[in-house]
Amino acid sequence: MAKLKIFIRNFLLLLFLGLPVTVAAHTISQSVGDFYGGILHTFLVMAHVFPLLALSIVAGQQGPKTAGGGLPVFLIALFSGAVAAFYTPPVTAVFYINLISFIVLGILAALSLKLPRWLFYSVLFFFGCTHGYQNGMELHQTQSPLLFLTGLLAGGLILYSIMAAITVSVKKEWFQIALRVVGSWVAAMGLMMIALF
Amino acid sequence: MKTLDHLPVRRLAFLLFAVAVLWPGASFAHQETGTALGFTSGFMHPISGYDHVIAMIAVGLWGGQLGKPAIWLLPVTFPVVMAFGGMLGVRAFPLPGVETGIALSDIILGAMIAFNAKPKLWVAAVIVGTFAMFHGYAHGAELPHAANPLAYAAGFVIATGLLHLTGILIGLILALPWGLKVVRVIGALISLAGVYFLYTVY
Repeated sequence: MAKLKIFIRNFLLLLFLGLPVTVAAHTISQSVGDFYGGILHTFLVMAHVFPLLALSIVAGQQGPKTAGGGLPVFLIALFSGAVAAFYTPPVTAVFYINLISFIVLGILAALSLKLPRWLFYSVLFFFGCTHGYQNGMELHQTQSPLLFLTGLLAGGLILYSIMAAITVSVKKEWFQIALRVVGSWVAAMGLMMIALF
Repeated sequence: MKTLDHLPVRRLAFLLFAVAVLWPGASFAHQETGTALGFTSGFMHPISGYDHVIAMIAVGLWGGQLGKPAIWLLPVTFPVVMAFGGMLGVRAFPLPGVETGIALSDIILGAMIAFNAKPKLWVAAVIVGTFAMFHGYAHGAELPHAANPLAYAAGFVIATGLLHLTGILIGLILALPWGLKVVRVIGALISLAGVYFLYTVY
C-alpha cells in the first residue's frame, strides 16, 4: 500500500512536471517574460551557472553562519554589477574575469578550504559584481529592465540558497566529495576556456 | 546543528531525474548559439573513443582498489590536470606521441589493476596525472572547432567524470569475496586492449 502511494505521488509529480508549457496562447503580460528571462539567465547560461554553482558550494563549505551572512552580500553584488552595466559603456574585460572565476571558484570548491570570513566575503562580492555586470549587459535588450533585474536577483537567491544550504546540511562523506568533484569539473572547464583566448 | 541526512536520497534522485527529463524546452532564457551541438560533441568525445573510455574507467577502478583517499583524490585531480593538457591541445603546443601515450595509459593503468599495485599516493597521482595530460591534449585539440567551446568543455568534463564514476561503481564488487579476482581480470583485459590500441597506432 505504501509503495502504491509512493508510485501514485511520483506519477502525479511526473504528470505535473510534464505539463506542456507551450499550450499557453499568450502570456498575460509581455514583460512577464523578462522576469523569467532574468531567473533563467542564472540557471541556463553556462557562463554563469557553473561558476555561481561553485561559488554557492564554497559558501556552504564556510559553514552556516558565514554562508547565511553571504546571501545579502551576494545579492547586493549581483544588483550593483547589473546596475553598473546598465549605466556604463560595456567593459569587455569582465568577460575574461568571469572566465577566471571558473578556475578560482572551482579550485576553492575542490580544495574545500575554510577561508577567513573577510576574504570569503570579498571573493563573493567581487565575483557577484562581475557576473551581475555580464548579466546586466542584457538589460538594454529587455522590454522591462526592472523585471529582468528582479528575475536575476530571484535566480541568484534560489541558486545560492539551495546549493549553500545543501552543502552545509548534507554531511555524508560521499556527498561532500561529490561537491569537491563538481568544483574540479568547473575549474577544468575554465582552464579549457582560458586557452582559447 | 540540524542536518538533512535523514532525507530519502533515492526519492531526491528520482525527483532530480524527473526534473531533468521533463525540463520544458520552452523555458530557455535565450538561445545560446550552438550550445546543444557543442555540449553533445564534447560529451560524446570521451565516450566515442574506446581508448579514452577504458582509461577513464580504469582510473575510477584503480581509485576504488586503492581505497581512501585515492578513491576521491584521483577523480578530483584528474579533470584539472586533463584540462591543463587540453590547454596545450587548444594552443597546438607540440606534444609528440599523443595516441601512443593514450594507448600506454590503458596498458599501464590496466596492469596496475591486474597486479593489484598499491604504490604511494603521490606515485599513483603522478601516473594518473601524466596520462591525463595526453587524454586532455586529444580533447583540447578539438575544442577550437566546437560550435560552442564552453558547452564542449562542459560536455567532455562531465562525460569524463561520469566515466570515472562508472569505474568507481564497478569497483564496488571489491566488497564481495570474489570481487578482487574479477577486478584484476578486468584490469588485465584493459591492459590487453591497450596493447591492441598501441598496435593500431603503428
